[in-house]
Amino acid sequence: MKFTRMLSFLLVLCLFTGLASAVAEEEKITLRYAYWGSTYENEAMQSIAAKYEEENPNIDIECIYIPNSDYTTKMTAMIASGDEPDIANLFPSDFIGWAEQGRFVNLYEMLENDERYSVDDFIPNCFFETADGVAGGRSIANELIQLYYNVDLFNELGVDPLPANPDEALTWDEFVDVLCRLTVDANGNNALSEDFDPNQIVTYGFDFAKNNMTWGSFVYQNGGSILTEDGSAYNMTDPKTVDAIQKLSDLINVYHVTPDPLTSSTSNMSVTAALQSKQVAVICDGTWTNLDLSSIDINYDVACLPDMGSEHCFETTASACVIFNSTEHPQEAWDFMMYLCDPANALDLYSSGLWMPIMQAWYDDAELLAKWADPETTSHTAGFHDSAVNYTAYNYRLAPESCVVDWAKLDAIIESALDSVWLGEATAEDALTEIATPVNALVKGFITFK
Amino acid sequence: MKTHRQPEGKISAAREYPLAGWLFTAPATLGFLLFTVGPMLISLYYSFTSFDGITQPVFVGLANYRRLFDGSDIFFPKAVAATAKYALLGTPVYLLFSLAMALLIHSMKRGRGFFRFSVFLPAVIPMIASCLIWKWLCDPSLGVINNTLKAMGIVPQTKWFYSVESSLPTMVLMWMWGCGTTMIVFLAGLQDVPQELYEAMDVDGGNSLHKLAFITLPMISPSTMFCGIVSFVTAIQCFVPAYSITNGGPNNSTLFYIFYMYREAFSFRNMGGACAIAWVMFVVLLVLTQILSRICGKWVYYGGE
Repeated sequence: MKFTRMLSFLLVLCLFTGLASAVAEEEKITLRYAYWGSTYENEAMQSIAAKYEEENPNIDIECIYIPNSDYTTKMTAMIASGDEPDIANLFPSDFIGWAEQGRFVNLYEMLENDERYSVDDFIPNCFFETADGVAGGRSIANELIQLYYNVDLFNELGVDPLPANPDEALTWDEFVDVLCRLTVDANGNNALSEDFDPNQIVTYGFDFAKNNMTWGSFVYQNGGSILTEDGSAYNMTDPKTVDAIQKLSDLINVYHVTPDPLTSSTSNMSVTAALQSKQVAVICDGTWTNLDLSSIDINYDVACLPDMGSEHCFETTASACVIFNSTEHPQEAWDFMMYLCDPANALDLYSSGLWMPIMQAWYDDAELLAKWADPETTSHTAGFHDSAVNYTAYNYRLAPESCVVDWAKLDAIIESALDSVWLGEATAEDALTEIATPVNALVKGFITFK
Repeated sequence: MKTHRQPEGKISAAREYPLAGWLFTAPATLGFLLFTVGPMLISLYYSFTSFDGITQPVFVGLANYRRLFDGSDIFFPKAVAATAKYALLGTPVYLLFSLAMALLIHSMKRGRGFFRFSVFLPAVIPMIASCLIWKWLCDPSLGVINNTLKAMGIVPQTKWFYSVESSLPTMVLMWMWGCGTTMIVFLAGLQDVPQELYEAMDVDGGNSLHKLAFITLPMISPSTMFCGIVSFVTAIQCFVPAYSITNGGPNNSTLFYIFYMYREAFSFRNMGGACAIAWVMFVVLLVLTQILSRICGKWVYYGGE
């Protein structure tokens, strides 16, 4: 008798615990989040996800880390097989094609239903608009293209530090003069000296990755553009654009202050390594470079681009973070997406220099700004803190790859023409004019932003 | 008295046990049908459609093929030119170099193992890793090769991968560095050449050059043909160096056909166009390999024939 009672008690217990666990299982929501980035970024993402899971026990975040080079391929395969994640970071060129197919949740609607935020809480150009009142994605993070220089090398060669404040920017001629003084051959002669031997250079004044983000920032700085203002046609035959590209080519082929062109596939690492080893004195790159530079042994600072005769213009970049329409949990996905862009939740990503916030308060509020950009307590330098955080006080434009529809196709033609310019085999005018017809045939305008 | 049936020929087993035959070959046949023939037929269909890899393909007839030949795709002729140059320049150089290495190692009295190992080693390094090594070695301003030349007082005249003239030859140089596998095939061929032939040549008063021309080369001709065709196809299908070192540049000089196809499919999301590009290549390769094996068949010597 006792045994039967015991058995039935155990059975009932099993039933209840079974039910309880079933209920718990039902409530647990899994969100799949896909992104690219360096190993460091991956670790940071995983720790944010873990923190979020801790704070929200009913949510499971499945991090899907895909290397940059395979990202489009894998994401295409995932979407094609109906296996897309709930949330994903996307390259703008991928974003626009899939947005046209209506694959993303309208973030404006989510924003409207969320009392915590309004559009004005975010920096300009944060939302990728696909139609009136529809935002398919938000910028993952903010980045600026700037100059980075080796302070020790400047001191050794007795060259004044570069200005960080755009109001004090060097003119183009002054900039070239500084680069010439920084470019030194094996006999210790700089590029201004008559005895200078361009075949025996040991330190170059300047280097830049030959991609649209770097040459694009000089084009903008010179008042030029890639497409016409209305986005209807190719505009790189514009004299200001041609002039900017020719000036960059002259740095390589006339002044010999920039090394021979490494093609656009050259990785970021080489440029930072060259800066550290004093093979190059100044580089042009994005904010993310802070992360690489602050993790190696180098005394560096950030400077603004030289004044090229037009109004000062900062170049910013934007890649899209989206919620796929197919998600079963749009609200939970939105909450996690907002959690990701709040620097308070992942201060490291911002204070290490990798990202700049997309929430305006983190620029305007002195206390919040200090948390991620104070030169004393973060990886950021004084130059960065003084100039970059005020970029909205000046002109600013998105990098071509962030805002031009079908940029990958246009870029393939433009970059191959520019190869000849960097190599000194063609003038900027000839090369950029020659490709006008094939590029114009592919122009589809700009992605719109708010 | 017959204790068991005498075999009447090779065909009889297949006739007698057709099902067993199919079953035994099923793993290979099914794999071939499912994973090679199936996708090929599907890609043939896609090549007649406008297809981005995700949405429903829309039939467009021959548009994807017409685009390649009517000049509206400016990259197609460039990709064909780069690939043809690489294959025609690279294959003979690569073969000669591999053969030279094999002959050298074969003729060694001492240290043969060490040198065989050294020459073979690059062949086991993953392609992507060797590409990165070469990319750094050949950086025109900051790389080891040009800087070593500078240190020796020689002014380097080449920009290696980074100029239109030298990018393809540098790629061939990198290919030669990984000649280990081909060298081993040649070496095996060389070791199979009967020693008595050389002795006969000695008796007839022939020198080393005669031995090479009249004994070695004819005797290893099957290896040469095999390596030739495989190397030619490898050259035409070259992808990784363009993908990882030059991105098809400078100025499309290394825009290899496969890289061009990959870019069309995954960067430009034009899967239909990429399928057409692939089919054009398939047909061209099929014709070329047929011609090559016909031509080669005439001068290849198989012992005992």
